[in-house]
Amino acid sequence: MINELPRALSDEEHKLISSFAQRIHRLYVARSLNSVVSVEDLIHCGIVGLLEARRTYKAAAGVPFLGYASQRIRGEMMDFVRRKVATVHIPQLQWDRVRAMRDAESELVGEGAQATPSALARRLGWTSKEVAEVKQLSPRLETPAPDRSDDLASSPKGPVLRSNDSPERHATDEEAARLVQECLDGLESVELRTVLIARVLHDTKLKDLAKFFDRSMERIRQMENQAKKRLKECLESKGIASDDLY
Amino acid sequence: MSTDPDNTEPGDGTVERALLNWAVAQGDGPAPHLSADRLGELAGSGGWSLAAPEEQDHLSKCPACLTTLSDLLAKDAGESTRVIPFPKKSRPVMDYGLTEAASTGGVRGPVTSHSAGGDFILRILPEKGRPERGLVTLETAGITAADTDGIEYTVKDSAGNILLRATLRAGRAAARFEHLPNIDLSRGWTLTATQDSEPG
Repeated sequence: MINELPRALSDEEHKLISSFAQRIHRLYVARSLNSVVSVEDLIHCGIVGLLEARRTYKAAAGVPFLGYASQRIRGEMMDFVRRKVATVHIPQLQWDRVRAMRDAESELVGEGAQATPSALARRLGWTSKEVAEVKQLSPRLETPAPDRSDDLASSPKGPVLRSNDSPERHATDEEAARLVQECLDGLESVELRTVLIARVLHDTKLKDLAKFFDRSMERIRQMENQAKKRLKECLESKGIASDDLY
Repeated sequence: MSTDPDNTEPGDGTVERALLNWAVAQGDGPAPHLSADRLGELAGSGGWSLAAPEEQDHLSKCPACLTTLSDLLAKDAGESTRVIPFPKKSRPVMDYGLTEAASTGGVRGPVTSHSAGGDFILRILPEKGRPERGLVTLETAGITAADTDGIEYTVKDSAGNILLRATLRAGRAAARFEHLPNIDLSRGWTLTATQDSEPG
């Protein structure tokens, strides 16, 4: 039984949902030729995420409510986009790892040995965790047929993952997030990282950041551009491009 | 050429997508968080230098705390926190409603639900003798019909099923719905205005 009186959306909540929906639509859907996701669909997801946040928020956890809600709003929207996307392009780096593991499996079996996770870890020089992560990806990969030239799923870059709401999907997303974290950790300073995330994820204005960091607007802009360039170079060095990220 | 100082060069989306992906994966972010009060103390001129090194490190890794800080920085600067992507600010963009009884297993009787913002009333009226079908209506309540005329609104249930997508005329819209038992109102309903609909 739902007895609570509904609380109207606050200005901050309204802004969060609107801005996230428009950003995600611009980044993931507007570029896609066969998109069926509208900004309104994403706003619906945002409201659902917000209501979930209101239901589950516990002040004792120490996170301010708006921040807590923003994660759920964004997560709900991204889950929706990911479900709607027909395919996921596997980054080249991950595909290389899948192939390396398959080669190692073949070698072990050819030698009469069992391709257990520990045997694979020893042969490849990986940790057991790495073997388990790549194994999750491996069974669901397929290489697109060469004649599907008008299919957005086909790509000269590598294989595609056909299932969206699957352990493999989650493994891909987690791996991508881990690589992004590595690249963020590699930025020269904590200040640079904060400027980048505030500008790119939150559209924080240059003048607000200039005041916060006690620097000029032009300096903040330089820091943003520098951080973006470094992050992009790092991602590309790890085999990640825009189409690989959902 | 744009004169907006915040206008940045559009890239191919790699950095934005990467950070979005990363932000979603962070969940609630690393604990312990900065309290709302502490973020309020920092959200001013030179706030970064007032933060301890571990607070700075946390802000650089916690999308949740950075969201709150960004909002506070905007308020401190006296900026409006409302973003209205439509031509007229008076038109409601989004709202939601909850039903008085948990409606699991579909709609089995008449439903009347006011939106949280007070501007709309959603009604679901099963047909006599054929309760699996009925009428879904949306009407204005706390605002004038003129404010919403010509605007297309979409009402969805908790599962994302579209209950109604129609343009309001004289503050009202209605549509038939064929599968009332499939409606899920267990967590309420949402309403959004279509972005590019114009008054007419």
